[in-house]
Amino acid sequence: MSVVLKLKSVFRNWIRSGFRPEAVGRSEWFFMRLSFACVIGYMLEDARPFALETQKHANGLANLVDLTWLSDDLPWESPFNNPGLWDIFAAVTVVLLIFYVVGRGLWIVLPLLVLVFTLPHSLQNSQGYILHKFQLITLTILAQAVVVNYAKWFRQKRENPLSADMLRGWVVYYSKGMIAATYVTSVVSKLINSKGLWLWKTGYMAVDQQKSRAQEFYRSLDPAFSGIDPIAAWMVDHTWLTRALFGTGFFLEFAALAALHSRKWALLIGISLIAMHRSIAAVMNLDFLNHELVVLIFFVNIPFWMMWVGAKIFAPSTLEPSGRV
Amino acid sequence: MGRFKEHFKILRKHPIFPVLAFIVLASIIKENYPFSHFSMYSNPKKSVRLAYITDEKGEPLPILYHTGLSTSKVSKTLNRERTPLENTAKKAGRDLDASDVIDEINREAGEYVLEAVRALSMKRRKRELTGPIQLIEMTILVRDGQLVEDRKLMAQLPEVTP
Repeated sequence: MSVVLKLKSVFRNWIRSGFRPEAVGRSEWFFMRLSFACVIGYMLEDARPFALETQKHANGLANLVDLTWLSDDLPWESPFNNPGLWDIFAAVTVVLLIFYVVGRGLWIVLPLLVLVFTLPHSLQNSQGYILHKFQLITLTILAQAVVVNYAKWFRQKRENPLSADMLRGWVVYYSKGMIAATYVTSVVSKLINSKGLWLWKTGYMAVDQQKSRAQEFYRSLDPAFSGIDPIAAWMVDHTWLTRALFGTGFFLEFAALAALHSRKWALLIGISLIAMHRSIAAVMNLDFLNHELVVLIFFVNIPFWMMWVGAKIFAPSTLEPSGRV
Repeated sequence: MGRFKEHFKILRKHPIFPVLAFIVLASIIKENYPFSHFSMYSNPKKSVRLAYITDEKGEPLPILYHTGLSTSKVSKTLNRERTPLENTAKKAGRDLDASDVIDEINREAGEYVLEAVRALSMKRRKRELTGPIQLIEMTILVRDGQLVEDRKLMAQLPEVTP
């Protein structure tokens, strides 16, 4: 058998051995909900959309409805000193998150969470520029909402409804699927927009690198960001090495789909993606903390691996072949 | 073709199919919150532009402190305003390479940005931009193996009384 055929066979077996939802235990799913709720709650910190009084460049829902009512004044004095209807949205979000963590009424809680995130951030993205801070969070909630409602209204009415473990497995599988899909979509955009020349064009990344530094400087006039970036200057001198470095990130983004193979692959891809984000943050000052946190929760899945190690050491007989604890 | 159909039939029933379908869907829908095609840095260019605000002497002003905006948003807003003006000028048969046309478009788009920036600053007590302000656009490029920054005045606004 030739090497190519052998590799093809190994790849085929690898595909067949995974990429299906795995059973997820109650505690694993609880820790995921709890940590994801903390991330969603942390997003409330950004009150900027509630100060926006126009939507000149309507985006998403703003194309259908006027969302500027979000910046209307409250009939009372805000104790948090935040603009518009932030207080109401924050209160609703906190109540929804409590239900989410407890795991009650998810079929309605999740769509409502999608809505309370989509309204202000559609308005935020209707100002003439697009922010990419909240999409992944909203899309992950959306994926969970679709799976829970599909199971409730269609699947569970069939002769072979999903067990509770498998239903949780489906929700986690498509949460991971949504995260992976956003990375692969980014790869598709790179290929389309650069007409397939993205890897080649990364040779020009030095100017983007310098732009990031200049943006940082003119934002707050921090002298640490003045002048020419030494990394950008290095990129100009080492074009091929720059291509190799960005190429690694490009293939890693594409490989995000492998996280759907199994927990082990999700762990490997998750750590690699976080390392990629950390290095981008260090080099280009581009922080995608939300992405890192969501990857940490659903890909790396620390509570599962802690429980798995604990079970392996203290009670090996409780460890099921699927890895569920 | 038959084999492709067979493979697609198997794929359609696989749990990963909705994920792959979403990738196609997101690439078509593009930027419509919460959907996005995440096109940041998707087409690196030989030169990039960035806009910032200065006082009348050309000294940069900390945009975040005065308005809560980032430099990136100022640049994006300028581009967003400039594109339709360029399209209108093109439709009217005007020469987009002519310096007077370029200056006119830059001034109109730049003044909009400055007005918007000033309006935002007015909501921040003691941080109002009431003095004369200018919008500068900087082009970053590699020239003779060196990174260089070229600057150009886009527009300016006179002093206002608060």
